[in-house]
Amino acid sequence: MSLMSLVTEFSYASINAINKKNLFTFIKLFLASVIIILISSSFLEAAKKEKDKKDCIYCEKYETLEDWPESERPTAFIYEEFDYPEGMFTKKQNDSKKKQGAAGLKVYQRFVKNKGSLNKYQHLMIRDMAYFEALFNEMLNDKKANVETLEGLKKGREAMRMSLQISPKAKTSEAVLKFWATGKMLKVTWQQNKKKKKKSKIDPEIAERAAVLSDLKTQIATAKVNAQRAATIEAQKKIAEAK
Amino acid sequence: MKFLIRILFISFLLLNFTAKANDVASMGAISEAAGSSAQAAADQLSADTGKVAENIAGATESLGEANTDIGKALDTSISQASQAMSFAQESLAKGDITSAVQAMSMVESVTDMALSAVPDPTSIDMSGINFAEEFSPGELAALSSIAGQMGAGKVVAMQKLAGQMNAVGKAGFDAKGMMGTLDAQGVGIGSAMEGLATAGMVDMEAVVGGKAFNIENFDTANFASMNVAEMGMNPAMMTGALEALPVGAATAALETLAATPGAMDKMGKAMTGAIAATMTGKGMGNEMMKSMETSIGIQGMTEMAEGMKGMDGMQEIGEAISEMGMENMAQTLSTAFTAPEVGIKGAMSGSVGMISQAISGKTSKEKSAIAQGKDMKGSFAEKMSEKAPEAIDMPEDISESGMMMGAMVMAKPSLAGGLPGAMAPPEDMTAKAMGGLLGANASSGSMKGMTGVVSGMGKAEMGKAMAGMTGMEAGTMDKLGMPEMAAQTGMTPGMVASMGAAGLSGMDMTSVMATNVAGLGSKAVTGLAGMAKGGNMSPGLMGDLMETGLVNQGTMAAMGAKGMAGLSGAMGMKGGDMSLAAMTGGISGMGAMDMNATMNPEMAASMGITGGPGGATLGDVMAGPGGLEEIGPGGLEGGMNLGNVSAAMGTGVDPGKAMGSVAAGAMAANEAGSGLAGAAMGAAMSAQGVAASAMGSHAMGAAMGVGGMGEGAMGQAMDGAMGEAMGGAIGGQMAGAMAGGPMGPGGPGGGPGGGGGGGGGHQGN
Repeated sequence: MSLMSLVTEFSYASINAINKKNLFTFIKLFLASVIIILISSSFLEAAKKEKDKKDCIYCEKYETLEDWPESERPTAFIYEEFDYPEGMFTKKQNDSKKKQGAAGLKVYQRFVKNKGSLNKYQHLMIRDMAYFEALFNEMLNDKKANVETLEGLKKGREAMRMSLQISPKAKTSEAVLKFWATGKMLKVTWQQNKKKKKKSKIDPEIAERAAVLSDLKTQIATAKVNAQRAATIEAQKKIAEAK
Repeated sequence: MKFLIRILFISFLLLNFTAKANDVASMGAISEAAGSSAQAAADQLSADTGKVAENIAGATESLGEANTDIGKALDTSISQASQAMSFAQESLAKGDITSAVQAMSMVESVTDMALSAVPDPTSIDMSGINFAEEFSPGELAALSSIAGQMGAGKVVAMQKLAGQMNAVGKAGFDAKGMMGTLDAQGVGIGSAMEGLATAGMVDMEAVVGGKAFNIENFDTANFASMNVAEMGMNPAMMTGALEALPVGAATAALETLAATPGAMDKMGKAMTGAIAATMTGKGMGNEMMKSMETSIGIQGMTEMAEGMKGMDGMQEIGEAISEMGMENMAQTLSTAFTAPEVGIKGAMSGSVGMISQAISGKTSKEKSAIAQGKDMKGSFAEKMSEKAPEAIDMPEDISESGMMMGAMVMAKPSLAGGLPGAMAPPEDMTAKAMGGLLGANASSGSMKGMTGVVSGMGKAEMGKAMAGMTGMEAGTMDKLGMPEMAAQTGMTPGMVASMGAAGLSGMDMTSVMATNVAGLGSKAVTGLAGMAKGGNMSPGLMGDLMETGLVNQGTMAAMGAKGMAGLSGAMGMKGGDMSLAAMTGGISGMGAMDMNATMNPEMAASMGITGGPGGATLGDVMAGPGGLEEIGPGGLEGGMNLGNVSAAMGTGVDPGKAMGSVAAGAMAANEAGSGLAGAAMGAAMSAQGVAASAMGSHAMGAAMGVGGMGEGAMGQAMDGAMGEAMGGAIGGQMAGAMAGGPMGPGGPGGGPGGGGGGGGGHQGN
């Protein structure tokens, strides 16, 4: 799944999320989402013409979750009910729909609106991956949720899980807690260390030596490959002679 | 007279020692072809090590004396590398390829350790946290799990280094002395082990029998062969590490704990349950858990795992951590996330950076120390590559038989350090067993390899299987000595072919082979394979075997023809030569795939595959993006390698995607006519992908991308298979792993390309 289509999925989720927000925010997000969708659609249209098939498996058979019996779903598409970590949702966000909306908004803000600053705010990126997990999970509790969207989100979820090496098979609750705790840890350190001037220039004598060692390693690896290649080439000569 | 007898006796001993250590002579004793192939390898190595040694000498002269502590430590590493390379050259002069290759591998490991001490501007700063005060027990458990997962690779890397030390030590090199010198500068194995012990990844008592590291008491072979329970890994970290490592590592750990008096009580019910939960988390069903209880020696594992999954499990572990003492755990985590020698900081910075760059589409401005050094104008680093060994181009006429012969020549040199015990390889393939083949007291020159686990690994059987794979006439093969060479490796022909593909393309052989035989050091896993061999395995268990990644080259060989027939039949594949399929690890002999064939419903269910009322057909399972409409009604002749499918599934890839990706690779290979070489490369890439997933960047420290595979049919086939694998189901793991190493973000091979690949690998599935 391309990043562009992932953006589309985020946007879709965010539109759901903003129902409860004020008019100004709604208009702002809606316009941004429309622009993104339009751009994405043109890419998607081009891709569609090329492949003319949906980028999903189960969506060929089921349109919404309502059509898809739980008994026929892989575990990853079954809703998990659990208590989210303290502080992740407010007391007012007390049902699945509200949680979905709140999580969608967080996801939109972090991964669509502010995606350009992800390298700078990696701690917030990791924390908000917990909201991505929550969004996907709460959508699984929504009968009207579109299967194609869910399949797209699941691919995004797997890519995000790679950042902390969380298994694609891990339960949502485990992934949420891991993202939340790591995000919290990184946020604490970011706050503590942001005033420290990060030393990006390494002492040249260290940098030069590091480069030498790195190159040395590459040379040794090449030498080992060459040994096997030399043995293989000679073996081939002998095979040709023996035939 | 007495003097004469003494001289003769000493000469006999010396001759015996030299003959055993002389790989060229040993190969020459098998056949002239084997001898000359080994000689070619030795000559090439000799020429290349000469160039490397010259470069090191040049570096030492040009760099001068460092002023900083880290600079001095790096100088010491360079000087010790120089000594090891001199030893490699001396060994080669005696025909001892094994010692030379192991010494070179040891230099690679030492280089990694030295580079990990260099400050990295691209890494995340995680210092200054009070874990005890700022985190709940559940959050601490989650962080411990992540630390365990990300630290597992460093433990495996240290085991590999210890195995290399053992091998060169047997050959007469003072590896312990070398490490002592490096430790004095804080960049030796002792410093790394101290860090790992403080981070809870190992217990110093279990490793050296004391509270502090002592190189004299450090039994390199013993440590290199330990599983995670034997090395005394902190239980909270262990649950995380076992999530990353193959499932056989978890069963082996549980077997150790069950056999150690009091260990289970000390662990606590929660921790034992957490380990069992990692097994169910990987897809192990109740039936498989029950069937393993006797071999493991723990009853009621399914019940233990209940309530230990997901957040509930984390909360339970958190409670257990509280009981063990929050302060200790806080200290452990603080070291785990900040000490560079533990490797977690680097691994996390790499993978987090990769994802943030992939999503944002922006490259980080920060450059690693290596990249900064390479950019320095007029530096020695800039000139160093001018005199470096160049990759030999493979000629166009190389055949699969040549590839296998080359692999057999290099098998012992490459694997003499043994396979890391954390991956639970067969006992005969660990450093402890391999050490017995090296040095003056060597029992013989032959590796036992898989012979303790699989019967029928003699010359005759090897010759037959290789003839089936390559189509070479038996007479020609005998003349070349190939059956004898294969028997001496103790490995199946499939493993030999994978090693050939892996070695020629620059993959890390130890990692590939460790993955190929992972779990066979566990009684529970060999018990399962035995059950399949006897035709007594239910389809549900076979599904679990596939899903948990337990179908690898080793288990396929142990399952034999009957077991493979059962597995392939339950998948809906027909025909094939199952005996060949077992001995080649699915590279050859697999049955044809009919897209309309129905999978056994019990097997499909246990793999998490749902089908329509008539059951799941292979066509259903593989439908969708990247699906296989291209496969006609006739199906896919030659089928697909179930080991590759299981490898991908074991890392968590969806079964449909795993099958689709492997079948697409097989189809592309069929179209290109790449045959055995392409299949072997596919198997090697799968193994490398699993290794990357389990060990992180430490598994990827070889020379992938060295190029020069040649324009011939085999070179193209192998390049093609490599490309298919990188774009397929397991490509994400590869890219993810590459991002965290010393060559990670900002460094060569890292950066946005890797990131994009990472995203693409997974997202593209």
